[in-house]
Amino acid sequence: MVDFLAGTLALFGDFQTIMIFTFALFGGMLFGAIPGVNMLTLGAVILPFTISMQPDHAIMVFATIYCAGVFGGAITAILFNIPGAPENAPTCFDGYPMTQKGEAGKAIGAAVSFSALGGAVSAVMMMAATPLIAKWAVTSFGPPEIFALICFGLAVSASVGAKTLWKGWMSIFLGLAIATVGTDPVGGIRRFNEWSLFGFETSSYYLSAGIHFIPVILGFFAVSEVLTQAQNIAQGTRERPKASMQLPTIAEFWAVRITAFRSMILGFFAGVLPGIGATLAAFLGYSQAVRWSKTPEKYGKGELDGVVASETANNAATGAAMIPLLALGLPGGALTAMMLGIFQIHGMEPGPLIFINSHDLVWVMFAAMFWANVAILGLGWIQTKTVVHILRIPFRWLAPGILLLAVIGAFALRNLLIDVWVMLLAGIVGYLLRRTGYSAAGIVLGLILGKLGESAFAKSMQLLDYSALGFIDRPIAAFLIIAALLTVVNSIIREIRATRGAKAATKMLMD
Amino acid sequence: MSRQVMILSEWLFWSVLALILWLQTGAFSEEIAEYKFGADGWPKMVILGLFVGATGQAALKWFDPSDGASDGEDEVAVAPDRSWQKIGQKLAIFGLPLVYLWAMHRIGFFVASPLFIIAYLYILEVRNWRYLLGVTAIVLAIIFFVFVRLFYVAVPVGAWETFYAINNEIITYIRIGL
Repeated sequence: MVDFLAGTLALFGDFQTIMIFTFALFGGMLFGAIPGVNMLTLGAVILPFTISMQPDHAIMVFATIYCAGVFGGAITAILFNIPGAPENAPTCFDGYPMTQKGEAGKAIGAAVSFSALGGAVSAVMMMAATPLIAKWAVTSFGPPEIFALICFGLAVSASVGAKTLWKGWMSIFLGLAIATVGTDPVGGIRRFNEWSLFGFETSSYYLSAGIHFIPVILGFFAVSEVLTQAQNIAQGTRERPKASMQLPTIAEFWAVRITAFRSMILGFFAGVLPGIGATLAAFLGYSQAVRWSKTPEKYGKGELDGVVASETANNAATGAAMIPLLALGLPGGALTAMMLGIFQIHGMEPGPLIFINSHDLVWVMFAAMFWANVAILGLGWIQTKTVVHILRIPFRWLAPGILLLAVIGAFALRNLLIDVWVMLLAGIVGYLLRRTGYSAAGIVLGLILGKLGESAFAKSMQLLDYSALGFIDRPIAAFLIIAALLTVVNSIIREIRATRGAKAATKMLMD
Repeated sequence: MSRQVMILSEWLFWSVLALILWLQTGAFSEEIAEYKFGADGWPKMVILGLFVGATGQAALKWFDPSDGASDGEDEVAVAPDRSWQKIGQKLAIFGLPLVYLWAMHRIGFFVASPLFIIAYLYILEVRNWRYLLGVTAIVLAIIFFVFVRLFYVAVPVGAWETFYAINNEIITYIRIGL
């Protein structure tokens, strides 16, 4: 409690910090709400500037953007059927049909309230649980456990965002392949910086440093979204949805209490999983709401419960996602990966020792997350009333501005135009991969976890004397490896069932 | 394109990519004294995963005759306009950012950006000159104020001498009073 108060005091102690907090809060909400950009875009654009910030300010900005952005993404999901981030995807299932029915206000109102509730409860649980998990992690987590954990995270994330399980795995392997460019973690040998093909030879100093994940993230998320929307404009298939401002009643809130509670618990525990915590949480929350409902057939047609389930769960995962990041140094998604980057930029290594080495900074982050969720409740309601007007700006006016922001963000990273070329290339590749059903989130996760994974694998092999069976001798590593294998098997079974279901449906339609 | 050709093309794309990457690993297959798998062990494992994934995906689709559905994003069933103007517009949506970047290296951010914004708005079917100029002015004003004046962000100033001077003049002007 004392630590939390100290963190709160540091947060609101001076005018400059309050301004930065407010900027991050509005920025996260706004970028989450504007179609074509999201909190990742804002995070990626801001990341280079955090180098000159104080470490606590830099971390606080990202913690606040994370909370506000996860909520903000729900607005585009509800109004335009464009999830601000993968974790808002299940919100589209019922949120967008509600908009089409003229109940956008109700859907946004529910998203605001339950995002704030889920996030605030999760922040409290994070404050209580992270130090305990960190203490346990000091003694229990070595390189084999970290490697096993990464395997588990990748196994869980394989099917998210991709059209099929195979495409999910292909996306992850592509990300892992991109991560191998640069120097190897053991001998420092340069890889893929010299290319020789059919007698043509070339080399690049840029590639010696590896491909940075920021231009790739900007390309896959911001640029590819602009290209997608611009193509829709060219085809004449982009439509503006209607939006009304009728808010949910107290009786409606009371009716969804069990769904909210279930999603909160599911969201928190799913959020702890490294890889795709909030996304998995939202899907789990939604699928369980459908499973336990007496009227499951209403889901997908504009059911308030669906929005509540998804939004409570993904926001409950925000606090939980900080646990693996802080306790183990494992990012749960693209934004937490950027946070990992900030820690490293400022000379800190997330992991169990961060609670000893950077105790104050961690509590500023905790306080920022809690108060960001409280602020979402207040500001979210105002935003509900006003955001529709902002979203009336035609996308064709926003598109060049978004591209310019992305160019600045990529260039500012290292003052290299080649980073901007990488971003544009990633944008075009991302556009094509999305059209063919591959997952941008999978590629980015592969890219981010690839370096960590290889480093942990190399250390594990040296530690275990090159015996893969050594993983089985260590209980936590064995448990995680088995869990990863079970996850893969389970997702294959689900894929087969889904294919059979689709076949049966097609046959019925044909008959 | 028939289903089989599509499956084969997709498999071929990934396999060729995996093969090229595998061949490149020869350039760094050096031994590391303290690590048995060397610098190329992990990349080879990943490339193999990519190839196995592509082959598994292709095999599963090939032997599943009922799988005729597209794996891509759901698209609205609208007959595409195949006029030259539309094709040109769609190509320009991808091409213009590349031209912008090529030009930015030579003529600098401050000269290339206004031209890019106007051209991109035009491609996105904004024809009213007041909107073209107004949106360009607002976007540039926000970006110049926030990034150049407030955050002191470095932007490309152009490799061609005249444009280099122009861009630096603009930066000086934006930062007047700081």
